[in-house]
Amino acid sequence: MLLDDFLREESEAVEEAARQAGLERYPLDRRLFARALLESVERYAPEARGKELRQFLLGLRLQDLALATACAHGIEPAWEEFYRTFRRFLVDAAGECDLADQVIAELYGTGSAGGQIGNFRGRSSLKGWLRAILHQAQVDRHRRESRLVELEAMPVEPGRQEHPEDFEARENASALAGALRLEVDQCGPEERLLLAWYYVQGLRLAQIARLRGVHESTVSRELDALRKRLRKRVENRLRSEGFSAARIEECFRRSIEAPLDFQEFLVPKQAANQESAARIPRSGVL
Amino acid sequence: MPEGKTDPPDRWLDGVLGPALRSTDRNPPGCDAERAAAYVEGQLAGRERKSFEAHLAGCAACRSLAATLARELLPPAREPASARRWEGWWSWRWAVPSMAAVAVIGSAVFYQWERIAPPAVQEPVLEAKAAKAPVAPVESGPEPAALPAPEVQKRDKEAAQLRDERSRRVAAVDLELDDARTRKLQTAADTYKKAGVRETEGVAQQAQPDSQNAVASRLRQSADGFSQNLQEQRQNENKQAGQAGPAAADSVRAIVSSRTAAPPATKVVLGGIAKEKAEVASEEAGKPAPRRDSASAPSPEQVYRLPGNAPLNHWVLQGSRLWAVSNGGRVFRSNDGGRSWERLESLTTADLVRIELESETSLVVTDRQGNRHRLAP
Repeated sequence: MLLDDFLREESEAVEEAARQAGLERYPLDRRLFARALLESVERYAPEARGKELRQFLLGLRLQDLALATACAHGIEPAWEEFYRTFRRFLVDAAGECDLADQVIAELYGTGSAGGQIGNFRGRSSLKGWLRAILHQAQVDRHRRESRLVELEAMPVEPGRQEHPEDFEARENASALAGALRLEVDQCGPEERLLLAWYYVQGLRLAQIARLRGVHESTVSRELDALRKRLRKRVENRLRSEGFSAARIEECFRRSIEAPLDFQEFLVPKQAANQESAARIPRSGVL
Repeated sequence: MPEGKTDPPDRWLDGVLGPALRSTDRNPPGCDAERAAAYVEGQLAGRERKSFEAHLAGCAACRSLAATLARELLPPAREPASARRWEGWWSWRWAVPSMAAVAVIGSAVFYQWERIAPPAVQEPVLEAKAAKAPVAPVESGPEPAALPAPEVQKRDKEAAQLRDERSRRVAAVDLELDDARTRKLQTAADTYKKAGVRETEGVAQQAQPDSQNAVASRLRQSADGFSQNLQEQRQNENKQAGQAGPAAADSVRAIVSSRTAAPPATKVVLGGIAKEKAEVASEEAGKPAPRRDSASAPSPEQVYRLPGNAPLNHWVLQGSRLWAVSNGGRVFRSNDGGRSWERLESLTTADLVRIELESETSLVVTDRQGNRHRLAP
């Protein structure tokens, strides 16, 4: 959609959005702001029309969008406000000034990636988006440093002979992990996400509840039911593979007593590297 | 493990689920940092939200980003609603007005309840008061400043009239009962006189020249005694029913004061002398000692005080020996004209209303149901 068409068709909504955004603070040209709105629509609601489009436009973080747009166009008062408002937040989140200032520099356009702040579309708050940008910067730095450490000090393990008991335990653990992987693969997206929030990302029940928009007790109940269901399915699968009840019990017991890191033998090294290398774009679609 | 929520049997997931989930991640397209931030902030809804959740379920990078944002952007774990409810000064600003309102409403309800409540629960107290004082005051005190509605006033007035009427009726019944007792005593005194007790009175009450006055005085004492006996009986019944209240305490105080005013020693001496005289007369005539009972023989003052203030239901006298029956199957015997009593085995716990001396070796007692029990005297 062309900007003129957008302004003509949605003039009323754009006017209302501009009024709510407070463009006169910087001041920001109304046409520049309308272009930012149009880009947001094209990215997040390309099919929206009429009332739905109006709701989408007025549901954006309009003031943050106006600030980011003004910053992207080099309006000095906007940068001053941005710096005054968000630098402290970034420093606190990063735990250091260097990384926070590096992120700000990249947003401003002095870094290698150019001015990133123009990619903000007002879908989330500017603070949330900045935290995501900072997270990406942290991941990038961690990856760089890990790679350096890996090259400089590659662990050299002495060879050792595996004990028969170790072998049996490893067999059991492998069987359990394999069965679990198959069962998890059959779970729906919601169940997988719930398990991942809790067991992989380590979120609390209250945080998961906030994310899902339900009560904490609901999350707890669903998690309990899912755990029981998974265990039953894994038991059935192991039984179908010829495991005795005692051996199945031993599998679960060993996994509790000595949880092993299955990452090494469950995920191929190459695949793991690819996964960790996956980088979330700061904006746009991968 | 973020929280110690899982039970030990479920901890098996801790070590194996992460790798299993990661190994099944597919890293689908659609990663968007701003969308992840919007998801955490609750900006996504409906189809867009479901779509992004499906993406999150298979994308470790977006999940990690969203988890980081959730930890830092979402407020800390909320406290339970019960604890949060009392948070902040504003939750207390209504405390005092609320408590005042509750107190006012409670007082009004309590006052109305006191005025409207049926007098049924007060009946025992009213009866006890009526027994002590014929006319019991029912209501007094000024009207409250806030007058109740006309209907309430009318209802209150009717309730007060009902209580007054009931009190009068109770008092009248008690007075009739006392009159009947007095008439019975009069009859007993006449019989007593016929049995030749006049000389005894003359011996015992030498200080009173006028025998008519002495008889009248003794009758009054007898009436008082029976009235006291009646009150004691009621008090015992109230105690048994667990209803001994202030009225019962008043009755006890009245009994104690009347006994202090009229020492029982005179009566006992009277009874002892009367008995001795009767025995002497009978022995002189060569006949066995006459039998008398509650309805015919000597003054009941001799026997009406039983151990433990047991109510006297019936008695019988033979020579110097007295037998009396009371409630709870109690049978008493006295060999000294009522000065001291011993309790006999009766093998029943029913209230005994009559005792008969069947022979020299056999007593028969009758309970309220008409059952007769024989026992050795």
